[in-house]
Amino acid sequence: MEGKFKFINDEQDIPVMKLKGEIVFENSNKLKEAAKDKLIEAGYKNLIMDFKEVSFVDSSGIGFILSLFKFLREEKGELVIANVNNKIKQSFEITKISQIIEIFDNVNEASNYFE
Amino acid sequence: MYFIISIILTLFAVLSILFLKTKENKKLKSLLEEKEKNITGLKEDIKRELIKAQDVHKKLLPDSLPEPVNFLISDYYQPAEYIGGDYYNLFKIDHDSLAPLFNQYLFYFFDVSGHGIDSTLLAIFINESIQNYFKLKHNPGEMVSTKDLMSYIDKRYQEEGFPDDYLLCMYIGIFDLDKKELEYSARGFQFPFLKLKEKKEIKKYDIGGLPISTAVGKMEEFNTTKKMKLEKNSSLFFSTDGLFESKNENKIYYSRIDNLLKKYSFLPAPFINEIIQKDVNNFMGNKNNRDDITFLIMDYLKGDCEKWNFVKPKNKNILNKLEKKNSNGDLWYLNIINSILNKFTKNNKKMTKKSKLEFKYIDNSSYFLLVFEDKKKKINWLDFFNDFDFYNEIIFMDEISYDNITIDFFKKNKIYISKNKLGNKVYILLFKD
Repeated sequence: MEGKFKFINDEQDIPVMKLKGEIVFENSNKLKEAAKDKLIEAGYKNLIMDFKEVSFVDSSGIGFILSLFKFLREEKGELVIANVNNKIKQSFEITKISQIIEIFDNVNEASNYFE
Repeated sequence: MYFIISIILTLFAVLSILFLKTKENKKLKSLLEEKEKNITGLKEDIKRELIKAQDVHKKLLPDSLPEPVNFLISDYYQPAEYIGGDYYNLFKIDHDSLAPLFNQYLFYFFDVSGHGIDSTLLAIFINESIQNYFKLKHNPGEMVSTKDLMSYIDKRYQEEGFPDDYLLCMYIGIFDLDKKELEYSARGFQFPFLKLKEKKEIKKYDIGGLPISTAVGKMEEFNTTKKMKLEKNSSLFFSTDGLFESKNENKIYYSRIDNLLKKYSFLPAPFINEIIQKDVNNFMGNKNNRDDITFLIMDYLKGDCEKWNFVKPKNKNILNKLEKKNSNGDLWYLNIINSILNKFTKNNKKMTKKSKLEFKYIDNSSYFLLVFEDKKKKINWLDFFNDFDFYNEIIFMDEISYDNITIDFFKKNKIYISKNKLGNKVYILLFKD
C-alpha cells in the first residue's frame, strides 16, 4: 500500500509534510512513527500536512492525523491541513476532525495562518 | 629455490585462509539456518497465539441476539486476518420488577483501531465498561440515556490513559419498542447507518463525530443524542467502517450497498445478510479483508408475526391456531412444520420446556417465514433437512454460488433456507404469488 511523505519548508519556513498515496491501516503506524521521529529531530512545533496527492484516508489514517495533532499540541505547536480532496473533506467533516484541526484550500493559505 | 619456497608458502597460506574461511562460512551458514528455523518457529508460535486470541474474541461475541416478535435480526462478523477490535451486542434492558413497564433493548457496536491482541483487549475493556454501567450506574425503572453511557465510556477510557495510537468508534442505540423510537449516540464512524423505508427509499443517518481517543481527550460536547421513529415494513442496516471501506481497485464497497439493499428488499434480513457476504467476497476477489467486517440488519416487520415455544402437549394447539389463520388453503407449510416437529420429537422424546424449540411465524404480503431455533444447540439443521422429502425444492443459501444469485433466482414453489452463524437457528422462506 503506497503512502509516503517528505518534509519541505515553505517560504515562511513552516514545515510542510507532503503526503502521497493512501493513508490506511497498512501504512499509518509506520508513517506516524517516521513523522514523529522527523518532528523530534528537526524540532518542529508547527506543521502543515499537504494532502494534495492523498487519494484515500481510512479510520487508521484518521488515527495517524489525531496522533500528530496531539503530539504537536503537547509541544505547544499546531497541526493544520491543506489541499484535501472532496471525499476526504467530507470524511473530516463527518468525523469532526475539521472542528479541531484547521483545514485550508492550499498550502499558501495554511502558512499565512501561522504568520 | 627461495622463490619456489615462497610460492609454496604463499599457496599454503592462501589455502589455509580458504580452508578457514570455508569452515567459518559453513559455521555461519549453519548458524543462519538455525536462526531461520527459530524465526519460523516463533512466527508459527505467534500465528498459533493469534488463532487462539481470535477464538477468544469470537467467543466474546454474542452467540445469538434476542429478537422481539416483530423483528428479524441478522448479524455477521468476519475478523481481518486473525483478530480484530470490532464488537457488538444487543440485550433487553433489565428493569427488574418494573419490567412490564418497559420494552427497551440496548444495541451497541464499536470498532477499536488496529487488528491485534491489543485491540481485542481494548474491546474487552469497552464491553466491561458497558456491563459495569448497568451494574453500578443504572437502577431498574430509570431511563437509560445513550449520551450518558457514551460519556461514561469516554471518561473511563480517558482515565485509563490508553496510548493515543488507539481510536474507538462507537455506536449506542436504545430501541424503545413501546414508543417505537430509536435513541442513539455515536462517535467516529465515517459511514452512516441506513434505513430502508417501505422497502424502497434509503435514508442515511450520520454516526460520525470525533472518535474516542486520548489523542483528543474527553470531548463532552461530541456526546450527543439523536432520535428516529421506528416504522414497520422498514429495515435498518448498521455496519462498522470495515465493510464499507473494503476496497477493490479504486472503488469502495460503500458505493454498492444502496443498490444491493434496494434490489433485495423483498427478502428477510437473514437472506440479505447471506447475499451481502457473497457480494463482498466477490467484490474483494482474492484479497483478504483488511479490517474486521461487522454488520447487522434489522427488519421491523409488517404482517402477522407470532412466536411460540414448542412444548409437546401444546404443539397441537399451535398447529390448530396456524391452521385457522390460513383457512384460505395455504396450508402446505403446515406440512413442513409437522415434519420438523415429528423429526424433532424423535430426537427429543419428551418435548418439554427444556428441549427449547422456539418457533416464529411471519406471514406478510409477499412471504411466509418459519423460524426454528434450537436453543439447546443440538440440531445441525443441514443434516436435519437432508433426508426430508418435500415436494418443493429446498435451497440452502450458503450453498448457492454468487453467480447464481439474481432476483429471478427467488421463486414461488421453492423453499429457501438460511441459517444463523451457530447453525442452530433456521429460517425457512416460502414466497407467495
